[in-house]
Amino acid sequence: MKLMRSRFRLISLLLTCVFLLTAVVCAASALRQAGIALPSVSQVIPISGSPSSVASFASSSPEVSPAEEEATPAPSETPGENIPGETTIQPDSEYNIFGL
Amino acid sequence: MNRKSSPRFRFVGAAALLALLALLVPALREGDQRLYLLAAGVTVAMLLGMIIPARLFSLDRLILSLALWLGAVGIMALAPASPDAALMQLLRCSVGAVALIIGAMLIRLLTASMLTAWISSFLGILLLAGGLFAGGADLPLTETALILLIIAFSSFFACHGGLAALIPGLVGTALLLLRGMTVEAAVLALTVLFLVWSADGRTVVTLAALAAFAVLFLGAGFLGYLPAFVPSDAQSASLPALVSAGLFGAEEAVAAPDAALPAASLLYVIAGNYGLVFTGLTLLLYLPLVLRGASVAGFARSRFHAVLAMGCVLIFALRIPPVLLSAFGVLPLPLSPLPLLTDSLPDLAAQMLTLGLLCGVSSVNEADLAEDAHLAMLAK
Repeated sequence: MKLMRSRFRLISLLLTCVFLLTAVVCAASALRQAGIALPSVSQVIPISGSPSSVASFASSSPEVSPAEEEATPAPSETPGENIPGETTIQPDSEYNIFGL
Repeated sequence: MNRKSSPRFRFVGAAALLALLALLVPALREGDQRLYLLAAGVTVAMLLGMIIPARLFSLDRLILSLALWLGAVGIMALAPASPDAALMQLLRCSVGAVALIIGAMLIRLLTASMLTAWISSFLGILLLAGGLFAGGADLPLTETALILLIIAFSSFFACHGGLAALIPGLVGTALLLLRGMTVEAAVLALTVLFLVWSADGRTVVTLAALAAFAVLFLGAGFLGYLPAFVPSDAQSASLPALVSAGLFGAEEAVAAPDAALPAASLLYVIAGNYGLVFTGLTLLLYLPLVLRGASVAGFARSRFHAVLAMGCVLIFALRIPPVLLSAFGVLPLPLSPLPLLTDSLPDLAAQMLTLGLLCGVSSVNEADLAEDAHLAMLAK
């Protein structure tokens, strides 16, 4: 019975390792897939330059007045793409952890 | 005593409260009476199911709570989009809870005898062979057959040792291979191999078992019974369906996944309604369930109970990695529902019966400990 119990413990350890490895692999697979299309991330973090996300991000920061927004130039403005009165927020590639 | 039991009651209370909130929010939003009924029914069933059976039948609280919570997650996921399906799932989970209690009671009736071994192996093989000879009809009794074969293995092992116990496992694996259920056959073969290795301990017997199963699988491959594992339409649709709702779920309730995906699996509905974070946390609950079961097996006094409990743990746990790896598109295996997150009543009842057997072994362990304490007190 002692040998059996020690081997049961080994089996438990093995099952734990297999389970955790499966969880890591599945999480990696899901994140890789989500890097292409993950709607909730793009809702939470305004990393694209779409007008809706920019507008929602701008409305969530009350300290910045519209006048200050107009005075502050965007880091990389492309002529003809900006809507007057709104800023374009470009993702910093260094912090773009989602790969979008 | 109260200090020990308070964290358990806190877990029960938190689980019931979370289920109540998850069902009450859509009920208030939709104003559907069925959702109110579900919110009340699930909460009361969880509270009563986690407390009363544990007290009456001395069931393991952790196994019972986690099993009921996983069942409740399936109901919660179905409720917002299809309350009728959620009500049906509530009924299925109730039947499953009864099966769990039956499993716990069955342990007190089962003894390590040849009668138990022959009856359970005959019934298990009959169920698997019935599926083989039923033609195109799919008999959803494979899970029950596997449990019966594990009971047969434990009884044979306790009476005659490892070699005799191999026979029902080998026959069951061969029948599963003939039916084209390769993953289930591999799960049964691995379970029997682990049990022989751990319980028998003799290297010769373990090697003989390994050789026998290797011959079975090689023979099945040679005769063309092993299917070619190539990615199907369902597998290519599985991962996008899981991540489509994002980290925190879709804004609109998801009723049913893609038609190509297995309809019995509730994993896609859970991921669609609650997102990847909640789904991942729910899936992590399998780990304490499995570890608690292994701990119960380790504390068993009799060889029969120990082998039976470990067999139940292995047959339950070894199915989870292939299901997850195929659902997340890592391996091209056939898609199937996760244990307890299924809307197939026979499967759910068999899985609850498995956990009930574990709870029964746990209650026998507690009775043994209480007897020891009583004897020690008398000796003083």
